[in-house]
Amino acid sequence: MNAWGRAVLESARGQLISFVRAPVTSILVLVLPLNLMLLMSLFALTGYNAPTGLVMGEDTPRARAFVQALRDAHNSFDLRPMSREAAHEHLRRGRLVAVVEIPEGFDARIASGRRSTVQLTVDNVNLDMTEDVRRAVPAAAAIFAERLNLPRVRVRPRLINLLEKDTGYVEYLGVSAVALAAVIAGGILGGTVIAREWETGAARMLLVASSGAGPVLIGRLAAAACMGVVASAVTALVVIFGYGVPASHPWEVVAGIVFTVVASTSLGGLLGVLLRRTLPITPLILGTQLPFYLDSGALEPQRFDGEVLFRAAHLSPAYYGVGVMEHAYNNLFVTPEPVWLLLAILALAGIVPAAFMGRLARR
Amino acid sequence: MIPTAWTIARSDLTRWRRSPALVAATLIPAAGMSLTVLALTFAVGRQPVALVREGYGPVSERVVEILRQSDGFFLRERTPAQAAADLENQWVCAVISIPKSFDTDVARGYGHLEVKLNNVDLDFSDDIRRSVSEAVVMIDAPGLASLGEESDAAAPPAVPVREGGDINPYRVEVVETDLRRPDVSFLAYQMVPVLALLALTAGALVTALSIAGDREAGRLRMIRLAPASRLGLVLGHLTGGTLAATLLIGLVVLPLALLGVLRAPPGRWPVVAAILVATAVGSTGLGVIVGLVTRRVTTTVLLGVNVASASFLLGGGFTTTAFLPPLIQGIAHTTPSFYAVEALREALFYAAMPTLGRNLTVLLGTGLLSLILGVWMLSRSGARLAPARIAA
Repeated sequence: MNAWGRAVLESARGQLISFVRAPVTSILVLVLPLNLMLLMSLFALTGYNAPTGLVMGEDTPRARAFVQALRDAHNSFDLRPMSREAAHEHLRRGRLVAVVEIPEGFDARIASGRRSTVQLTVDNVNLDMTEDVRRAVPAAAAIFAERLNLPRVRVRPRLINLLEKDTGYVEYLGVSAVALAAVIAGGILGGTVIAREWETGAARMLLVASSGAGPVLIGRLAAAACMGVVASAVTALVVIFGYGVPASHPWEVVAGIVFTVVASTSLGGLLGVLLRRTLPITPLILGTQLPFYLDSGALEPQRFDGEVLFRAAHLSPAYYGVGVMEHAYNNLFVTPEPVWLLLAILALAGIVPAAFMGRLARR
Repeated sequence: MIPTAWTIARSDLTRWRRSPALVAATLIPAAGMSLTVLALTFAVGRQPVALVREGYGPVSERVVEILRQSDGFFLRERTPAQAAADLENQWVCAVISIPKSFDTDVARGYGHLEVKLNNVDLDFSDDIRRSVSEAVVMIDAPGLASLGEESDAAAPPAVPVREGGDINPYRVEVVETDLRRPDVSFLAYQMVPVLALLALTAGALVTALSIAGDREAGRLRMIRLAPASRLGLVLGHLTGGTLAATLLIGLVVLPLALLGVLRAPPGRWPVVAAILVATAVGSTGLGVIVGLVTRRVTTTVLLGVNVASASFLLGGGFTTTAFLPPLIQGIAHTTPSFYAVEALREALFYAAMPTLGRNLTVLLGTGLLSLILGVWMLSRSGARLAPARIAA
């Protein structure tokens, strides 16, 4: 092995020893991606089934049929039967999104061919959930009419799903959060280990080294990437065994984690070389990557949110990581680019900054 | 004690002000999140859908009009081949087709709109399904399908009723009452956690890193040798972080209020201001604790990120905490951001503020707790103040 290679290995070894000697730091590195993944999954828990108070004026077959229609209206309501007073109190305090009141005499009016009026009170503070509820009520009425074979409904939708089954939101978001975890872990570790070379004054000595600063910095990044991969792998295993989402393409999971972490570590390292201070690295990476995560196909294929956001998404490794992970776990294509291209771009994002690291260090 | 505290606070503020990287690091998270929220405001609830028209009768025309007016879609008219390609390339998430025989079918009472859907995930697919149902119901019962809009519930059906037919064949009418008029905009609702995030980055993260930096450089030990009170030292960091965070929050809130994005009910601005200051105190208190319990900057960074992200996301960053499972709600109650977001949302959007006292107490209490813990930790062995050995 030549001197350059030996310098890379020695530097990586030194960094790994440093991680081992600081167990608290290492544990926090392992916890960080897991923490982010679990926390992002919370978003999925409130994305659908709006908590809704149900006030039943009567318990009759048609009233029950309407309640069932509400329940079957595309995962829109988490119906909670309660008294009228309690429902409105909860609504006023922001504990419910809406209150649905089925009036007394509902069954008799429907049976006699007349119309019955249902009261819907909405806490229209969260527009996303408010609109879901408003759209779900007509959907429930359509289901109700269909099940009761009510005449004179002249138009019905005929829904054809492209995929065999919908992927649950927790499963979808949990998987995309593995990519986020890899990006954050890699970016922070890469940025911090490189910036510390300047803070400790080691960078000045590296510049006069015979092989230059390049191999040492690459070695540091390699060690940071190893830690990032281990941390992200733990997260990926939690998704498989904790969330019960089997990997459709296990090798893609491995490749996705490794390539996303490598790209993020390298880009984080680039930031470290440019800033040369550890202090701003973390807020910068966290602050830029959380928004980019929302704009990466983490919630739905990114192109559906418009061309501007779609183009912007390509600036972050999160987009490519999410694309790979959704295919690897859920067998979904959420990007127009094929998986091999996503991996190739991640690899390029890993190699190019690392290759210029030595030159940038001499700035 | 006060001069010491003020000197430390001023030093923290000066260090922050003189470091463009630090200022950027403080502002970028909130700025990035604000931009994302702004972008999502235009996208939320509306999905790109292709419309394939094969029927051109008057009923088809009317249905196309309904679909165009729907606030659930961004509709683009395409040929069948173009629509299939758009669906494949993710330009659209669904294709709605109006068949050739649509007018005749409707006259016979069994018209169908065919909807081909890229059902990639449950939440998003259900959004489309709901919007399609709403548009279809609009044909026979416009009042039922216009919830939340300024419309006449007794409006005639969009497609003329057959002889002997009934208006609203679904037999269910809905009267909607909203807690407020107009709806709160998505931007205003989501800006509240962005303010909490700003407090967390400016107050918690920067203060924690500043304390850890002092320790690692050996400054903390030197300060301890000086005739300065420990309370003054901790109070100084708390004051510096709080001032920085309050200043930044003020710089963000003021234009938002002037632009009308954030609107407080009459007489509520002083309460909102008090909550924002308390949020800055609580977040900085969190930062003081993180900064004092860690010995190395790297550890501070990692603990800080874990704490800040947990605090932001559990506190209601992307969710409404009250809708989470009880166990998670219980955990969320341990983060100061939860109280900040709840207090701000109550003050800005709700008629009553039943939890204001509790929320302010917890936020200010976090600051106080950080003072007590900080003094206690500084009183312990001086070894803790020594810079950690810097490894490779």
